[in-house]
Amino acid sequence: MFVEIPHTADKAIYVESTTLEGLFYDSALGLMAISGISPLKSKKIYSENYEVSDVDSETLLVDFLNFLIYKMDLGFYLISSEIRIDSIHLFSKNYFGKFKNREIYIKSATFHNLKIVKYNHLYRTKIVFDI
Amino acid sequence: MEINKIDEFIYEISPESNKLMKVPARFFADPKQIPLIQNDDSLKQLVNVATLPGIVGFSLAMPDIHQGYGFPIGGVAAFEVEDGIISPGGVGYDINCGIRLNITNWKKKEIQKHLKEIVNEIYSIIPLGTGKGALIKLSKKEFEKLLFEGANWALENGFATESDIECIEDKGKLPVDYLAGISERAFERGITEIGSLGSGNHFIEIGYVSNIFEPEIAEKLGLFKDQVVIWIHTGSRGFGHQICADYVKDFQSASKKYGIELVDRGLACAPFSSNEGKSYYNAMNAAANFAFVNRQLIANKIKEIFLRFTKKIKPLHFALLYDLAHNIAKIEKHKVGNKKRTLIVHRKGATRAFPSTSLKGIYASIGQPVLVPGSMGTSSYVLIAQPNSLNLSFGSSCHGAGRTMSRSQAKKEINSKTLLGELESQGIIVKTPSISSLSEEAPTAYKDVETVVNVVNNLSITKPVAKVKPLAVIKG
Repeated sequence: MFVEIPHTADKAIYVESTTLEGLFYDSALGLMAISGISPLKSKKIYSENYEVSDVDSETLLVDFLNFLIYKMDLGFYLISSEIRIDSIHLFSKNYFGKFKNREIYIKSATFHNLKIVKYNHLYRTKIVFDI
Repeated sequence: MEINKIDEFIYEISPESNKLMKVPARFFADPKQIPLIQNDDSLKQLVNVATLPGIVGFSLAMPDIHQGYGFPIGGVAAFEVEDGIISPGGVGYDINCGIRLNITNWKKKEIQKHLKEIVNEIYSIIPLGTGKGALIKLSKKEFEKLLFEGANWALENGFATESDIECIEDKGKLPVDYLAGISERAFERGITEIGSLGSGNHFIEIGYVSNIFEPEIAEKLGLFKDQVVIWIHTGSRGFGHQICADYVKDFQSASKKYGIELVDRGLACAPFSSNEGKSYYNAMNAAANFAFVNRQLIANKIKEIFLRFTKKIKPLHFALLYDLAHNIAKIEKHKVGNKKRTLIVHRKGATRAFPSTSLKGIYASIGQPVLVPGSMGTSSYVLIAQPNSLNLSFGSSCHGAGRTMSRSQAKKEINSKTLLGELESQGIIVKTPSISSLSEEAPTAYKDVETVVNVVNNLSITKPVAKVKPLAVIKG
């Protein structure tokens, strides 16, 4: 699950999930939600794999979200994603649709106080987006 | 966190309070602003910047300070070129986000009857908001040329005049040696957005000069009472955002490689003299050149729109007063103690403010104009840099009002339609593709710009020249 939390200049979400993959997926859905996507009526779906290795899980998360922000700049929003994470390696198969409008333009996911923690069987994080 | 008052409007956090700090953290503020400034993490961020290697003098913040990521917005930090760092977080995602002020020979009363029509034209022609769109279409080869040449590219292609170039900070061209450090993603995002306003706090505002405080300087700047002027606030769009995102990520490992201890990952950096540091500097300058051209293209299109009304109003003189960057890192020479040192000065939400002694070219006799837009619907200011800026702030001043309220809080507390009604009742025309997000930029979500400007004026960093009131706002 994700929920929007206040931040002075930007947008931020709190995310929690029972798995690391679920945390990434819910973060992606949170990003789409705060962007206020209005999809096109067309049911055409595009898929694209995204695979990356980084220094740690936080960098991996920022990298994945910034890939989705880049796709949004090209007019695509994430419908769903199959994510596999092996230590510091991410493999994702992503399904995109075209959108006609978005309420908020997001520049980037940031590292601002970003930490993924596991507590009581739940992965949790807060992500700040620069807008 | 103990805040010590050093002088009127000058406050400091001592390095004794945090053993990682290499220099004091200093900020300029009116006493009544301090509770607002303490409301978020901006002072903590200011302290964090003071821990970075090679920082010189102070970690500084202007009176419009508010929380950013890594560095606070309103922050100024100078680092040794030889053994200091460069940080994308010290510049911001919107590289060379900046403001320009174009001036006309039209008076408020002459434009008012046609204002709505002019605003509608601008709104329908300039690409703005969260969607795609650009004023011009370029091949990749031509786009690369633009990145090297900056505003000169606009001049060569008929989108600028010689006098425009003279009135842009660094003549709108920062040094770029190569483009190899720029990702394909950045090119893809940038090439389709050249000549577009964007969204968020970006805007075009038509205003009029309501007050002149320094008649002689105002005359030299071409300003007169009731004059119609145009503000344009935008930056390097997706091109700059992608470059910043790429380097913030790459510098996570670069910081480790060079043994730089980070108290916040948003401070990720590399030695300026390293290959990584040089690569970011080049890419950042290319994005800055993009932004200079972006604002020039928008201004040129607005000039074309204004020209269509000359028969209805009167012949038009349309000129640039100044165009400046307020998110940038630049190599500058500053006197520190008794020595002149070459520094890489980061300004994130801060404006260069060089007095006449540090300038060449058009404003060498009066000093650099410092443009300070207020929040939507409030007054904006034209200031002029004073010599004390070199003593106090590495030649820097404030860049705007500075937020006090989160966007989500503003949305909850302020009704956009009510706000629109209030602005219209003041005679201000507002056009935006997203009425619902209007409240995010409401004046009450920002600090009082007059207080901010009074602080830098009282410190003799700048001197007020003119006040501008809004007639119409086109919000991205």
